[in-house]
Amino acid sequence: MSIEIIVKANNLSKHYMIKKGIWSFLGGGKGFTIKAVDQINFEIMRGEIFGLAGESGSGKTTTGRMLALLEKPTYGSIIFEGTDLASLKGKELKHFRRKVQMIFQDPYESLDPRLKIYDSIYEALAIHSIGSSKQERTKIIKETLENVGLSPPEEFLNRYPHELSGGQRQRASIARAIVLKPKFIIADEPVSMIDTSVCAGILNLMMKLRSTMNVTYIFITHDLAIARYICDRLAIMYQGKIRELGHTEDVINKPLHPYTKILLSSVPIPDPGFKRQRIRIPGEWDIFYNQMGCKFHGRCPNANEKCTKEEPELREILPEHWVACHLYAF
Amino acid sequence: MVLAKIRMFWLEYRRDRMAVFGLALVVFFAFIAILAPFITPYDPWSFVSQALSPPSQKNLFGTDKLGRDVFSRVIWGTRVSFIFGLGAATISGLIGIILGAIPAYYGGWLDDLLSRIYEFILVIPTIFLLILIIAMFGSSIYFSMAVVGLTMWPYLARIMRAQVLSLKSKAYVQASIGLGASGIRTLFKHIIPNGIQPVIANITIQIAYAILTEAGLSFLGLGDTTQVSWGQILYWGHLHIASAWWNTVFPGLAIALLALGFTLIGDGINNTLNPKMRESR
Repeated sequence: MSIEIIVKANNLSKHYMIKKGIWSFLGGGKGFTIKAVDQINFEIMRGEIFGLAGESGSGKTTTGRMLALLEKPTYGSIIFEGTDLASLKGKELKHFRRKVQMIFQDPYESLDPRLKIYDSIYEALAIHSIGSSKQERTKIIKETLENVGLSPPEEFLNRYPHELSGGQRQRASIARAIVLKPKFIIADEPVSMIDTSVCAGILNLMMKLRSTMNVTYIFITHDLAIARYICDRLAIMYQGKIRELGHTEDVINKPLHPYTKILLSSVPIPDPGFKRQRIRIPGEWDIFYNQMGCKFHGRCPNANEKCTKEEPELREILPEHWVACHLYAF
Repeated sequence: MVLAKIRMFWLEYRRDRMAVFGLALVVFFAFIAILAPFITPYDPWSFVSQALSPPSQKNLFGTDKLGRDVFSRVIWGTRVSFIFGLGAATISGLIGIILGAIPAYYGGWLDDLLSRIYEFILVIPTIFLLILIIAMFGSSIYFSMAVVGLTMWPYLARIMRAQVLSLKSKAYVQASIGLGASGIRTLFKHIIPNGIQPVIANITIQIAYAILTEAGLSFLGLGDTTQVSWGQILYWGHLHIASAWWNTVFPGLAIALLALGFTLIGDGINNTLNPKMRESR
C-alpha cells in the first residue's frame, strides 16, 4: 500500500467564547475562552483507520465535526486530498460532501423519524443526482442495503427508523453514508450506543467496507478495547490536545504518556483472578480552570516543576510514536 | 404509515373528552356553514316579519330591528366566521412558520433583527392597531382578515423558532447537511415537518382568536357592513339588548361555542403531542 496522505490537520483549533453576566451581554467584559480543540496536528493515510480516543470533553467529537465541515475551525486548517477545506464553496463544497461522510453516535437520532429507510437513502442520491431514473436509484439503494447487511433489502425499504433495532438503524445510517461512495468516513462513536452483541457486526462491516470500497476512516471512540480492535493508528486526546499518537499496538502495549497509562489501567480485564495494578488519579479536570503548563499536571503522578510551567509539544520519541510529555525530554 | 400515525393520534386524542367535544362543535358548525343555503328558511337580507319580534315558530331566533330573520342570519354568519378565522390563521401560520424557521436556522443578524421585530409587534395592543388600520384603510372583511393575520404571526414565529433551534443540533439534521443538502432543503424536509406540531396546535387556537376579534371589531362598528357576520348581528342588536335579547344572545352563543370548539381542539392537539402534558391531565 503506497502511503498517501488523505487528510492533514494543521494547528486545528476550536475555541468557544463564553460570556457571562449582563455586562458582557451589553458588549463589555472579556468573557473567557474554552479551548475545545487546541492546535492539533495529524495526518491520516489513505486506507487506514485512524482512531481518536479520549474521555468525554476531550475534543474528539469537535475534531470530527470540523473534519466533516459541520463546524468551522477557529484557527488552523484541514487539507483534504490537497485542498484546503476553508476555500471550498458552492459546487466544490458539494463535491466534498459527497466524498466525506459522517456516521453519528446515536442511531436513534441519526435518521429522520418521519422518513422511510428508502427515502432517507434516496435523498442522498437525489441531492447529488446519482442515477437517472427512479428504478436505477431503487436498484442502487437495494444493493447498498444488501452491502451493509440489511437483507433482504425489500424488507427494510419501507420501514421507518422506529421499526428497526439500534444495530439495524446504525447499518441504515452507514448505508446512507456509503451510497455516495465516499473516500473518507468520520465515525463518531458509531458503536457506543449499540448492544455489545451487535457491536462486533458493525465494526466488521466497517472493516469490510474499507477493503471493498477503499474508504479511509477516522474512528472516534472512548473505548480503548474497540480502538484496539479496529484502529491502525491511535491518537489519545486530553483537554483538546493530542497527548500520544502512534500505531495502535504501540500505544496500547507500550504507552508513554502518564495519561494513556492511567486510561489503559482503567480498562476492565475479563479475568476475575487477575490482580491488576490500577493507577488512581486525584480529582477531575475542570475546563474552566485555565492552568499554566501541561493541562494534565494537576492529576499526573509523575509531574515535576517543568510541567507546571511549560506546555509540552508533541514529539516523536520512538519511531512513529509521538508523545507530548516532559518526562521524555532529553 | 401516515394513516397509522393519524390513527395513533386519534386514539390518543379521543381520550381527551373536552377535545372531542371541541371537535364535535367545529364539525357541527362546519356542516352548518356548508349547508347554509339549504337550511336557512329566509334570505338573510330580506325583511320577513315585524321588527324585533320575539322567537316564534315562524322566526326561530326572532327578528332584528329591520325585521330580518335572526336564525337565517346566524346560519349565514357561520360562513363568514369560518372564512375569517381560517383565513387569518392561515396568513398568520404561513408568515409565522417561514419567518420563525428561516432566520432561526441561519442565525446571525437576521435572526436578531426578526426577534426584535416580533417582540415589537407583540407589545403593541392589537385591538388599537386594528382600529387604527381599519379607520385609515377601510373595513372590508378580507382586509381586516389580513390585518388580524398580520398581527398574530409573531406568536407562531416564536414557537417555530424555538423548535428550529432545538432540532438544528439533531443528528439527522446534521446528517442532511453532511450529505450536501441545501439549507432550504434541510429546513423544509427535516426540520419544519418534525417541529411543526406545537405550531399547528397554536394555529387552531388562533382561529378562535380571529373569530373573536372579528366579532369584537363588528361590535365596535368597525366590521364589514356588506357581510352577514355574527359580529354584524350583534352590532345591529346590541342597542336592544334589554328589550330584544334574541338579537344578541343567539349570535353571541354561536361565537362563544365556535371559539370554544377551536380552542379545545388546539389544547387537545397540544396535550396529545406533548407527553408531559398528557401525564398531568
